[in-house]
Amino acid sequence: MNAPEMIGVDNLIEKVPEERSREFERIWSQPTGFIGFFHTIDNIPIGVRYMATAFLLFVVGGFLALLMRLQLATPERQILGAETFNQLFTMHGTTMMFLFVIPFIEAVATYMLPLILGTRDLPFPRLTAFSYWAYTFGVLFIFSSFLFGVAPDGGWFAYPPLTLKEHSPGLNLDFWDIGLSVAEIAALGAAAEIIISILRMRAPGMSLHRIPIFAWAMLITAVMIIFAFTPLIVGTFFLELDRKGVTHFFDPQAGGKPLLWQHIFWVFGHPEVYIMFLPAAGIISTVIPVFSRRPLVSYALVVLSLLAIGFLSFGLWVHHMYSTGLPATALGFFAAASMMIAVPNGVQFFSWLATIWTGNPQWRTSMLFAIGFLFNFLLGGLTGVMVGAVPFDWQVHDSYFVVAHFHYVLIGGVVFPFFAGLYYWLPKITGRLMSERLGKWNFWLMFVFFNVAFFPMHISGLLGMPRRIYTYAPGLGWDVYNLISTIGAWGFGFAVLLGVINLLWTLKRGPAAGHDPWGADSLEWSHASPPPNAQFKYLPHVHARHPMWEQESLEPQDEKIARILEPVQAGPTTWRGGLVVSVMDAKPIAVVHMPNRSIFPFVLSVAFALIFAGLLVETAWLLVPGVIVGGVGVAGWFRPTKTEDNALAEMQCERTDRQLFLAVYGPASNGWWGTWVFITIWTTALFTTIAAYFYLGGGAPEMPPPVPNTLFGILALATAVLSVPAIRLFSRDIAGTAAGVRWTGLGLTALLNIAVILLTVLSLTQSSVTTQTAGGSIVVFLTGWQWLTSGIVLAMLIAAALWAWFRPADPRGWSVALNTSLVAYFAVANWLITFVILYLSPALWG
Amino acid sequence: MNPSTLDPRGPGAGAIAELWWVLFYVSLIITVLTLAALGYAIFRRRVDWRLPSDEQDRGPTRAIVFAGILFPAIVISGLFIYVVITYRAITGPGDTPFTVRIIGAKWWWDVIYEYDSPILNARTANEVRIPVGRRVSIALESRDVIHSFWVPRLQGKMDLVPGRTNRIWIQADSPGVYRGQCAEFCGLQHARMAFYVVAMEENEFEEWIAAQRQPAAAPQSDAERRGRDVYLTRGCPLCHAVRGTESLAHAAPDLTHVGSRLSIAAGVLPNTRGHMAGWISNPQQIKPGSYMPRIPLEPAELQDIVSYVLSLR
Repeated sequence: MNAPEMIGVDNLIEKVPEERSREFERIWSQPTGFIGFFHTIDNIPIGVRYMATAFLLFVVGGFLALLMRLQLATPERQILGAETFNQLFTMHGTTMMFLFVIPFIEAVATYMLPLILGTRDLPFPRLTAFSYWAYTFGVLFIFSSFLFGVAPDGGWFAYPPLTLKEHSPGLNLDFWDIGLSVAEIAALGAAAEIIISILRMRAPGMSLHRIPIFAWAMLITAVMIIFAFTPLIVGTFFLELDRKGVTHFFDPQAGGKPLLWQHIFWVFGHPEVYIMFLPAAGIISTVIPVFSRRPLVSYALVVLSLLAIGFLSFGLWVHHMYSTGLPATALGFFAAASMMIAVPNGVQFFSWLATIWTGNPQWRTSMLFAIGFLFNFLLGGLTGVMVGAVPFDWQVHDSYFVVAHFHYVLIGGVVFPFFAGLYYWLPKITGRLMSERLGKWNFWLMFVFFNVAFFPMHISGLLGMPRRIYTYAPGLGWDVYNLISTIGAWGFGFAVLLGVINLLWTLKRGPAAGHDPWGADSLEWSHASPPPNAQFKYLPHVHARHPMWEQESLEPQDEKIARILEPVQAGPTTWRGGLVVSVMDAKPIAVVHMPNRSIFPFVLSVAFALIFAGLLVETAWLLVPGVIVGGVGVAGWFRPTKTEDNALAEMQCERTDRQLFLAVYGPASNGWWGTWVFITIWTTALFTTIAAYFYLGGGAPEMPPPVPNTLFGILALATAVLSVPAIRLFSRDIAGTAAGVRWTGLGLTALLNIAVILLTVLSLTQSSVTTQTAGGSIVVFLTGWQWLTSGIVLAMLIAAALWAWFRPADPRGWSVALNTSLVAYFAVANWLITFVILYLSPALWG
Repeated sequence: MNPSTLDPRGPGAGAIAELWWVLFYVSLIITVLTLAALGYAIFRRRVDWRLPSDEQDRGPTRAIVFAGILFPAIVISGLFIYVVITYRAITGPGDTPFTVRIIGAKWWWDVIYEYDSPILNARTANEVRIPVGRRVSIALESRDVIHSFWVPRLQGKMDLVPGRTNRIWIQADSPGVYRGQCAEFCGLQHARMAFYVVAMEENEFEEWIAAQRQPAAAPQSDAERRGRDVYLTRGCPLCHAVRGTESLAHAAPDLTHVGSRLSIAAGVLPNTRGHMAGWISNPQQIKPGSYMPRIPLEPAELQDIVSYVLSLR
């Protein structure tokens, strides 16, 4: 079946006057010129930059591995010394795991999700730009370590005590630890955007059971990022504090536990690999149906599998720790779970197979990569079940067998789908078709050399070769397999280069792609290639799962809906408006304002770079300017803008069902949802820290965490609870509150939060708690977490006060006040929970 | 000598190898069947499907439920039972009257034979000698970073984690020399932290350990006597121990009977005169970054100290 002719939305008959259409295109146009480059916040140009940067990191990370393989080609080679090799394998892993795969996925989502969902941009364009700039600065930061010869060298998972100051005295691990913060922040920002975008900002009529599988995959991935990356942030924070000598979480001599790091890291690390795999699976679920000319068999089963994987992946992490000496029951549980995750993966696999079986396969390069993926992922998944078996893992853990396993699932299971996605979507992005001939060479060479490089590693691992060794003795039976792997690796490198060459050729000479070269089913193919910045000038109306295959037209069929949507068809024209729909049924509800340009995301990234560099070398000369620039960045980001004023003038803010309203404040606004995501992140961090508290306290009854001064703890609790009515004063019935009442509420809440900070500080100073022991460290950290939380509340209260002073009747001010109230309530709950843990739970130690 | 997990010489590695073959053949069968299905799916003659109805997809959906849920669930459940059986076969207490306490350090292994009665204890380094046919209890600790004890032909690996003691047993069913290597990245010279497990008949083992309990043999020749003087005066006692002399530090391998060991520098070099000379004269060249400093010696001093050290049998 073919897509109906001329269904492209931008080919719809212009329904509005030309004047309005032109104004719409103008408000959606990109800033130009050199300065404009830094002001751009549109998902399309940012997406392209992001993809290009992330792909560059793939090539760089791969090159590091090629150097490693040169060293390992034969025994006792002396091309690279031990330190260099250790830096290379650490940076290879760190680059691939933190600086390539997830940023690349974020980049593809940034570019493609709005097109796939039928919207005009992601909900927080400045955050999109900030994620990209922060990522880029983070990459430069970490890689600058090579210039100083101190690249990270503790392995990509940086186990203490090796990575504590005593055994890693140089700046290597500080580059790693601080530089990672940026990957973490970018990932969390992207996750917030993706969740809010997929849940709220879709084409009208695209109900939740009609969204493409790729969108489901991204949604589940984004939720996983929230729950996986946050523990990592806590863990890396612990590590850096230990390295700076402030705390002793991981130092056994202070009662600390090296395994605490492993638990925290792998609670992140295992979901991390599914965070990488799920979007890849989403791409495969996109590509295979299109090139089999039929929808995916059993959408429901596949969505359930994705959900199951997302959920179950948080229950597997101990399989990275099988040989650390854990009790049998724990090992048994995690082995069962690790082996069982094959089931939802199996469902997806056979769904793809069934789709090909019952379809009409077209052998484009994209489809070849999908088939290559199926083969490699099958092998990787089976060896995954094998290493899930504890006794077997006791032989092959930390050997080349497991290196083979994870490269099969990461290259086979993630990189091959990325290439499938590239060959599929690049015509849309560039407007030109890639060479099928070069593409087939690209695929076959990648497939063959990948297997040549990595299959022998199963064997050398079974023959006893450990991983992360810069050389090996001859005559152990490992020599020939290492040589073959090296040849395969270099062949694979050249094969990847062919793909790059194909891309460059395409940009110069590729034939025009047209809007739908593949005859595909989803909304991005309704646009010209490349899509205009003013994508979806007329919002499409969707009433089927495969709109381009099943619908005659993308215009709203219902007169009522057409009327409701009128303000956003080729409009608004003096500000950028995005449509918000109901979560389940995608009924149009409201419009949100989206900024069109801002340099402040870039400014804020510069601030982060300065602050990170300042933390690295511990100098105020970088920290102070960093904080100042950061202040400028935040102020500029959140200041009122002209386009917002236009929006407020043109649309009303009160919630109504009869027509679209401007969602500025309250539960209909994206800011409210964003605040909830932030609170979820904060709660996850709190619970990670609480888990660490119990882990450090249990099992060593002679060194339980100390208890701070109870009197001050109770006073702080009372103060926190007292702030509840104060918060209500400034946030209840926001539109109708008198100024005096509002000011009282803001002021009281601020005072009470300051009091909480002071009282909790006193609870520590008026006790014998120090950070010299692991127990003391976690107690101080938990208390300090309250300072951070209350500090953020204070910062938001200042913002709310500024609005209340300068623009008391402005709905944007109400939005700030309401979002502040959410965080302020959370700060109360934070101390309540912390109080129970710090002061009441020691009764458990009896 | 090749440390292959598939060439086991004891019940630990033996049970795991059996598990491997089961996993391997099950995986092979699944791979062949799945690839056959994929091949058929790719090459079968096409019927032109339009947008299939739920009716038409019922068959494929059932196939997915069977192949993707039921079949894997059953197979994995069965495998899991076998996994538990294997686990129990390779864990549990040892049956020797002694425990070998192995303390990992960067980048060597401190090996202490501990009996109930401390006068029976012995200490060596980088080599673990065991009696054939006995489950030898091993206690694993670390004095600095995480290491991992792995001797593939005898048993699965277990980490040495600072602050805790992990326990396994190893058993060799035939005499021989079995190579092991550290299997947890522990810094610069992780690649050069190997060891040997030497399995001997029980009576030979008793002779060996009795000898290990003795203090160092007195030097017999002039060279050895001069060598002892070099040893005692050029800083070696700061880290090393030779029981029977005033050199009693344990920051580095115990040298009381180093002459009878198979290797030096943690399994890196064979224990020959030439290699010993090379190691003592410049450890930084063989294992850069290791904690044994380069101490300049005159050629005569070097020859003497090598003679002395090799005499410590």
